Amino acid sequence: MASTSTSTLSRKLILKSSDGEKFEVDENVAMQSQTIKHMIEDLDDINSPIPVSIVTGTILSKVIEYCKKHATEDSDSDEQLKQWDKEYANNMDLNTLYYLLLAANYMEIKGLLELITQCVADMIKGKSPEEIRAHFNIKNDFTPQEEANIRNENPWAFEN
Amino acid sequence: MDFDANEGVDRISDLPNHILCHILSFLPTKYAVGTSVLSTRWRYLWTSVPVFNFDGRLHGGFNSIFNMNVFLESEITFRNVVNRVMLLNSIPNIQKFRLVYDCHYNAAPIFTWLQVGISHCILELNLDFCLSVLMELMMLPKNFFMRCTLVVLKLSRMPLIVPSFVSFPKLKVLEIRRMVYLDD
Repeated sequence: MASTSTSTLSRKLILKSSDGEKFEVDENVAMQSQTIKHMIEDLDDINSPIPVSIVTGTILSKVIEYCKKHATEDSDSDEQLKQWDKEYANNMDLNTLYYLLLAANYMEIKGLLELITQCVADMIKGKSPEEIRAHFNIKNDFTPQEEANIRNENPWAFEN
Repeated sequence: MDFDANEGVDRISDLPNHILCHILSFLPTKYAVGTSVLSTRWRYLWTSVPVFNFDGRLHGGFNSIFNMNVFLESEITFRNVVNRVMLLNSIPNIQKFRLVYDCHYNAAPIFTWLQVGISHCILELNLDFCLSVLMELMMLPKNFFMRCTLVVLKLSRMPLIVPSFVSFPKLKVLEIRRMVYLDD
């Protein structure tokens, strides 16, 4: 519809994190999340806060930062946006990446989910199993014999 | 949730399976399979990754010195790798199939892999292979050109015979590089 550009942009929504923090955002920013989009459709009163129940305020603010950037992407070229995405992801520690992944998954923000999963995949790429374990603090719960057996099943996967 | 005192905690292993498989889907299959040795949590994750990404260059012997015995050996190894991964995979639908492969002896397995791939509602196909061997099987499977599910198709270097009727109703990306057309 012709009227959507002005009316949608001016509409504000309030998102409420799991720890009660409230964020006022433009509707088109919040709509990057499929989950929120569906919630709004079912909502009678758009002025009441929308609960984002499993996401804390700290993480939700980062999610909103991403959504804001991608809601106004026409001001940037694809290349600039990619660069922004890269810096955004590189600035996160592992713990934040973990909660962002859960948030992007729950809120169904496809672009953010792709960005963070790719970022974690890049951390795995080119590392030996020992280095991957050390990077992510993964505890090896195999006995030496079990580990040797697994390596023998697919020896080609462990060649350099 | 505590964001501060988290040094030394393994968070990634707590992620749901589908997110971990999503992460592994960005890796060449070789590295995805390599994660099976990390811990019991990771043991069989690779068998649920909906992406096949086989790159012959990552497997020993390919593109090394021009020694036919080495080629033959590595071709057999590579063939066994692809067969094994495809056999053990438990996913119903393949999102993406990428194959980079220099074939010098037996091209028949490639067509078997394609047949398996296209019978699994494949969405993205990325083939880059060179065949330096003369053989009868130059033609892609007939139903290859009738894949209604294919969204992305990238072909490189391979010999290609295109039938008179081709139908990819959902195709959005078509990329063709360095092709050898065997008919007009």
